[in-house]
Parts: sequence; C-alpha cells; structure tokens
Amino acid sequence: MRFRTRLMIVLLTVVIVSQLATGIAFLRATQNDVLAKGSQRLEVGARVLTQLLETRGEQLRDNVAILADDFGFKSAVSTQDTDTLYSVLANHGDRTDADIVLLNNLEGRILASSHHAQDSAMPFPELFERARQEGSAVGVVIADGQPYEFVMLPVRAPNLIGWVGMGFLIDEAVTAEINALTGLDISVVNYRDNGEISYLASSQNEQLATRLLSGNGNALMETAVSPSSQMTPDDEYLSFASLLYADAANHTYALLQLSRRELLGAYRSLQWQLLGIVALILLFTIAVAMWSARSMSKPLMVLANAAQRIGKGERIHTLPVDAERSETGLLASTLLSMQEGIAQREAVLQHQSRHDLLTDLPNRFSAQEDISQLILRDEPFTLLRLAVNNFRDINDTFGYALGDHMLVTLAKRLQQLPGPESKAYRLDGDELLLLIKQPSSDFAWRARAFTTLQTPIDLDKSPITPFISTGESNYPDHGDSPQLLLRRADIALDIARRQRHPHQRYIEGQDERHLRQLMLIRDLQEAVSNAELWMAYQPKVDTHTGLVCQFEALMRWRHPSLGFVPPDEFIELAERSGNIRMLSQWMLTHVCEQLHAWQRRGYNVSVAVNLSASDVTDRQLVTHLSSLLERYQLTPDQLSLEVTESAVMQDVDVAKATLLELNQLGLRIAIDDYGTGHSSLAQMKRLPVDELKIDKSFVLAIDSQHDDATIVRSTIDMGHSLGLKLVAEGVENHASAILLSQLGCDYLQGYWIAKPMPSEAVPAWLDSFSPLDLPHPQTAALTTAQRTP
Amino acid sequence: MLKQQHRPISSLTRVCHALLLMLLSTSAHAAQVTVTSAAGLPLEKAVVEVYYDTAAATQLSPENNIYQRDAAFHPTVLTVPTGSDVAFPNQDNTRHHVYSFSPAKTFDLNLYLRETPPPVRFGQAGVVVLGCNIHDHMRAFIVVSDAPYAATTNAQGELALPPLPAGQHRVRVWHSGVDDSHQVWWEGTISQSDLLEVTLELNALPPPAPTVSPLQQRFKDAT
Repeated sequence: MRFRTRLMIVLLTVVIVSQLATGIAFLRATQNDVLAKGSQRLEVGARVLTQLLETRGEQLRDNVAILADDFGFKSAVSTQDTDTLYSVLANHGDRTDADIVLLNNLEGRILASSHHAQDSAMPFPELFERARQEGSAVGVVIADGQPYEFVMLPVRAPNLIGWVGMGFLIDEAVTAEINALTGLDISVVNYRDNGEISYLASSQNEQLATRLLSGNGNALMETAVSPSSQMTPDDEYLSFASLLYADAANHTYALLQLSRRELLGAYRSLQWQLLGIVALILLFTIAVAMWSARSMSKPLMVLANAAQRIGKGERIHTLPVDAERSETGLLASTLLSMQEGIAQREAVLQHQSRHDLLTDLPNRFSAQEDISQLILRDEPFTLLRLAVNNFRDINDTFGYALGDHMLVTLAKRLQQLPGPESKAYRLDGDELLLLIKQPSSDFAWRARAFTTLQTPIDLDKSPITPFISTGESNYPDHGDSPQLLLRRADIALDIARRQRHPHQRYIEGQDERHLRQLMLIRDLQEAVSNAELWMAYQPKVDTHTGLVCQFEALMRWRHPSLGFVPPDEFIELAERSGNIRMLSQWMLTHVCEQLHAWQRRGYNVSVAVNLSASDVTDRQLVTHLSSLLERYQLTPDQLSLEVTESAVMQDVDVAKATLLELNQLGLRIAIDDYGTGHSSLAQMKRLPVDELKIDKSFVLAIDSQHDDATIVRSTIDMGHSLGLKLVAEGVENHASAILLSQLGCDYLQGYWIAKPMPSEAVPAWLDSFSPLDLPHPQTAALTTAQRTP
Repeated sequence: MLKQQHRPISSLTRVCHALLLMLLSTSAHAAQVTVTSAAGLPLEKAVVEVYYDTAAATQLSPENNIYQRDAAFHPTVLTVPTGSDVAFPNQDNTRHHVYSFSPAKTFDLNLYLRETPPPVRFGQAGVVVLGCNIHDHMRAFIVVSDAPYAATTNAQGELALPPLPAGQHRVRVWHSGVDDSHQVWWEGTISQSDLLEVTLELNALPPPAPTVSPLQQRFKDAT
C-alpha cells in the first residue's frame, strides 16, 4: 500500500472514530436533554392544567358561594316549588356561566337539576360525600359523558336546607387556554370500562386527536389502574396523561402532547450542522493528509526515480532534495555515496572481468573483443597462441605457486617483446595469446622472441627453461571471426605441441580434420548403442603345423555419414577422449559372446584381443574378464591378449601388475607392434609375456628388403632365446611366408592367409581352409642355434 | 363566653305548679334530664319536652324577646308555647334583617334598627330557624312547643323537671347539632322521679364560624 494512502487511512480513521464518538455522545445527550425538556414541559403543562382547573374551580366556588348566600335564592329554594327551583337555578346558573346546575336535599336526592331527573339519586356521590365532610367540594365529574369542573356548596337559611352544585364544561375553551399558555396540545378523553373511548375535548383537530387517542387507548388502559400520571410511548408524539377523574366505570385523562417533530426540530438541525462540521473536518483532514503525504512522498519518489536511473547505469551528480538535514536528505546523500561505491566496484569488476587475476593480462573475453575490433577495421593481424610444453611437469615438480610465477614472468616478457606492435592475453591455464599487428610473423622476429621467452626462469633457485610451442593464424588468410581464428591458432598449436615443434602456422584443411575428429569423438558415444561397431577376425597360422591356431579380433566402425573409419583413427580418438574403456568393455563382451556361439556350433577357436594403454592400467579388467569367461563357459586358452609396447610403457608398474594377474588367470599375453617402441627386450623379459608380434613394417617387404629380414631374424632369435613365441603380421605373399617360416617364426598373420573377415564368414572359411605346406624352420633354428653360443 | 343565667320567664307559672306537685308527692326528689353528646360533653341549650296530662292551660308569657347584640341573637335557643309572640329588638348599631324559612313559621323582618318590628306570632309547633340576611353567621332557634312543659338545659346539660304526675310520660329532646334539618327529636319516657340521661349524636354540619373578615374588621375599626 502506498505511503500516502496509508497515512490518509490512518488519519481518516482517527478523525472519523473520534468525531463519531464525540458526535454520537453529543447528539445522544442533546436528544435526551430535548426529550427530558419535553417531558418537563408536559409535566409543567399538566400542572398548569391542574392549576387552571383549580383556579376556575375556586372562582366557581366563590360564585356559587355568593349564589348560595343570596337571600332570594334561599327564599326560592325554601319554597320547595319545582318550577321556581328550575327557574332560579337556571337564572343563577347563567349568572355564573355554569354549564351544569343542580340542587339536592340534605340526603342527596335531586330537587332540581339541569342534567338529572327530579328526585333521582345523587349522581356524584363521591363529591357529595366530600362536600358533606368538608363543607364544600370542588372536583371533576362526568355527566352525560362530559367532564365538568364541579362545585358543591351548602345552602343555609341559615340552617342547611340543601346543596347546590354548579359546574363548567371542560371543553375546547379550556384546552385552548392550556394550549395558549403552554404551547402543548391537550386532549381530554374518557375511557370507559367497556373499552369505549370518548373524545371529549381537544386543542387538536378532531380527526388527529381521535386517531392519537385511539392509538394510545390500549397503552393508557393497560396502565389506567395506576392513579399516577405517566408518559406514553409514541413515535410521533411525546404524551403525558394526567388523570382527571376516575370511578368504577370511567377514567378521564387529560392527555398532553408535544409533537416530537417539533420538539426535535432544533435537534435535527443541530444534527445536520454537526454532520456538516464532521464533513468539513474530514475534508480538511484529507487535505492535510494529502499535503503531508505529498511532502513526504515527493522526495521519496525523486529518490526512487534517482535509484532507478542509477540502477540503469546513469550517473547522477545532484539530487533535488531540499532539506539537507532531513531524513530524505540523508537518504539522498547516502544514495549518491552508494552510487560512488557501486561505480568503483563496477570498475573493479569490469577490470576483473576483462583481465586475468594472476598475470593481469587481458583475458579471453578481451581478446575476442579486440580481435572483433580489428576485423571490423579490416586490419591484418597475426594470432600467436603460446603454450608451455613442460608446464605440467613444472607444476608437478615445483608446485603451483612456482608454476604461477612462471606464467607471470612469461606474461611480463610477452608484454615487453620488441618489434611490431603486439598485445598479450592469457586465454586459459598455460595458454597465452599474442596479437601481432602484422599479416604474419617472420622467422627473424620469432627467433628473437623465442630467445627472450625461453630464457631460463629461476624457480626455487633452479633455472628452468620453459619450452614454448606456438600456433599461428593470420587474418584475413585463416578466417574472419575471432572464434575461427582462435581455434585455428589452437589447432596449429596443438599440432606444434604434438610434433614438438616450436612453431606451426595453420595450414588449410587442418581445421576440417579437427572437425572430423570432434565429430568422431562425439559419435563414438552412440556407435555402440547404434550397432555401428562390429568385429572382424583375421586368422593366424601355426608354421609348424600349417593349421589355423587363432584369430585376432579387430574392431571396425562404419560411421553413418563418414563411412568406414580406420580403427587407428577412432581408437586413438577414443583414447584421447576417454571413451576407450567403453569400447574395450563392448569388445570383450562381444568377443566372448562370439566365442561362445562358435563353440556351440563346434568351432573351437581361440581369439586374441587388443588392449589399450587405458585397459592395462584398469584394475577392474581382471575381474571383468574372469566373470566373462565364466559367463560364456570359456577356457582361458580360448582368449589371449595383445598389448602395444607404448601402452605398457605409459605406466610400467601398474601395467605389469595387471598383466601378472591376467597371466595368473591363464591368459596368454602378446606384445603387439614389437619393434616400433623404445622398449628393450630386457623390459619385456620382466613382463609376463608369452608372445611377441613383430610389427608389420618389418614384415611387409621382408622378401625384398634384406635389412628387414635381418632384424626379423635377430628378433626371432632373441625371442626364442627368452622363451617367447613369435608372430609375424603383414604376411602378404607366399615368399614372405616361406621366408618367415624358415626364419623360425611361430605364427603367421596377413592377407596372404586371409583378410580380416566378419564373424559370420569365419565358420565357412575354416571349413574351406586346407593346411598350408610351409618349410620346416629347422635350418633357421639351427642357424640360430649355431649363432647363439 | 359568659352565658346568661338560664331562667325561662315564660314558665314561672309552671314552676309554681311544679312546686305544688312536689309538695303533694311523696317522693324525695323531682325528675331530672341530663343531655350529653356522644363524646360525653354536656349539651347546653338542648330543648326537653315532657308530655303529661294537666288540667292547667298553658299560660302564654306576655313577652318573648330575641334581641340582637354584637351581631348575634340572644338567646340562641328559645322555647315558647304554641301561639306565643316573639319580638326581635335590635340593640346593635347596625341594621338586621331577621328571617325564617322554616316550615313552622316563615317570616321576614326587613332591615330595621331601633324601630323594633311588631312581634311575630308562632302559631304552629316546630323548630323555627332564625337568620339574618346581612349577617350570615347569625343563627337562633325558636322551638315552638305544644308540650305542657318545655325548657332548655343549663350549661351542665341538666334540666330539673317540675313535679310530674305518677306514671310514664313521653319525653322529647332536641338539639341544634343533631341534624341539619333540625327536625329530628330524641324521644323517650320518663317517670316522676327518673334521672334521665340522654345521649345525642351530633350529625349536623357545624355552622360557619362567626369569623371577622379583614373587611369587617376595617368596618368595625372605623365605627
């Protein structure tokens, strides 16, 4: 929620609650006060009514007293003559403006009356009794359903000769007077026991009065037994019933009423005024809240905006926040200093992201950018990738700290190289890059540079010479993108390192080979599962018997798009990419399976498989092989292993241990390609080797090259003297076979016997094979024996 | 208020008869009537009538007066035999207008001062209530009696009766306070030596007190 909204809600809530509480309390108090005052007015009205009736009663009494004392009246009364009585009562009644006149004897029987029959019983016994007790009486009576203020006085002549009573009607004149005096509406109403309500007099119009009285009738009747006057509940009127008269059958009330609307009129206007005031206060509060929220949120908005701009990388120098010492001012200055901090850190990060931490040379990213720039400007240049060939050795020997020291030294030397303008970068590990603004590097410059770079570095007090290889690519000759140029320089460097040359310029086509290798490495992963690999088998023949003694299993790969891939190529790639174990596993499993299949068909064949350098250092190989033999029910003599010299030499100790275990398993082990490596026979002797395979480079032309024959012969002799069997591969013609057989070679392998064939062809070939007739090597053996001493 | 000695002049002859009877009789004392109110207070001016056979004709006293002084009748109760004349002399300085609306005798003596109007004859037995038209509080009773003996009690409420012949005799007692109509009598019998005690219930409204209004006081002070 926005700050402004929240502030406004809080302020409004406080104001509304307080205003409502105050207003409601005030209005309630006022209303109660108004109603209390109304009640008071009604009570006062009731008292005024009583007072008025009393006063008028007193006046009447005085008038009647004068009448009763009037001698003429007395003499008329004493005549006891009815007509005379009627006329005198009428006459004297008129004098006092009475509405009712009566005369009764001492026992209360009517002598004459304006409203009652002669000689009837006393109609107002209660009042009469009071008059007899007190000498006179004033009170309200009901005659013919009409209320009268009535006075009874004795007539003395001078003894008591009767009672005279006179009364005036409580009519509209009375109610009008009360109304004039008090401003209250007054109605006189009589309720009879039978529920009949008679409207007697009212200051209100008759219809309304009747309605009101009927409405109040039940309420009044319910409480009519109570002699006290009381307020009646009414929505429109505040009413006060004052009991005027009550006897067994009648209850007469004076009902004083005050219109609530009139009474509350002032209160209503007060309500509206109060409402208006509250509304004004609310408006004022809203205005104040908006103003104060704005005054607080405006600088915050400015700051937020500024922060956003800073976030976008914009640089802001001043912030338009006025009050320097206010919180927002503080925030603004903090924001500016934060911007500074961010800028500094950003600069550091920027530098770090573009420079190598160790050497402080620009990194690969910078190199790519710079190369892109030069390409855009179409300036010819030369990329020279450098690598320290013995870097790994140095790291291993002297530790990484000194390796780093060497890199830093080389970096400095690169930066200080004389000659054409150049810039040095560190791409990765020990790989450095020199960008020379020249179409190509010339030999003289390179010689000087190599001299400088390969100056021995004093590492741990021993001078170490870094042997540098460089790969070169040129723009625009070798590409037009930084990636391409860098890769081609890398390919060149790779070639240089493998060939242990100090410098190699990229040659067209190398990149394509490189790409082919990448593709082969990638596809080799799926070759096994896609069944693109298969095994070919090439037989070996025992020269002593002329019979097939074994097959060599050779792996073949038919790539879906590249076609037949030479095993030398993909096996080397597999070794480089670390996939060779997967291939070996597949091969061993496949060969064992094949052997098992042949065995079941009755062909008891032995197969030799080639192990890679990786295999011979694999400690799991022995258990794997033994489990395979067991699974396919093969005997150890059905499987033999061929290992190249160079594979064994990579880690002689581990290889020896592995080979010993294999030997103990009963497997025969042959050294493959013997004669091409740097190993000596002495080394071979220490290995559990059973056979030597003379490399085909010595055998292919043995029938024509005398030197080869000599080497082969001496090798055979040495092998035999060490108790090893010898195999010649690459036997391509009959002459070579004869010669080798004569030289004492134990087994022959080559196209002259058979080309490698798929496994399906093996049984048929075996069936059609007829033993070879080869010369006995005794002569040779004798020759050897003769030479041996 | 000091009451005048009760000595009915009109009954002098009756007293003589009584004395004679007393002498003739063998009884030691004469009969007596005592009248008290229900509250036990003695009632003065109660009228006692005794009816008995007598040969002697009732002697009318030649002069009976009820005079007016200090705006009051004197005496307030007068017992006269039927056919008596009563004069109403005025001894005040103010005029009086004496009247009666009683059935026994209705009359009306218009305002007079010194010139006493001729006496009024009361030829019918009964209680006559006297009033003055200009002084409402003035009131007096004339009990016109047919009885051979009628007299009023003294301040102790006692009345000594004259010697009575032997036997039971009818007795009537009246008092102005018994009833507003003033026509109610207590009736009983008495023998020659009885000491009759009569208790009367006073039911009549008390007459308005003769108060002196401020207006009257000023008039009085002026004279």
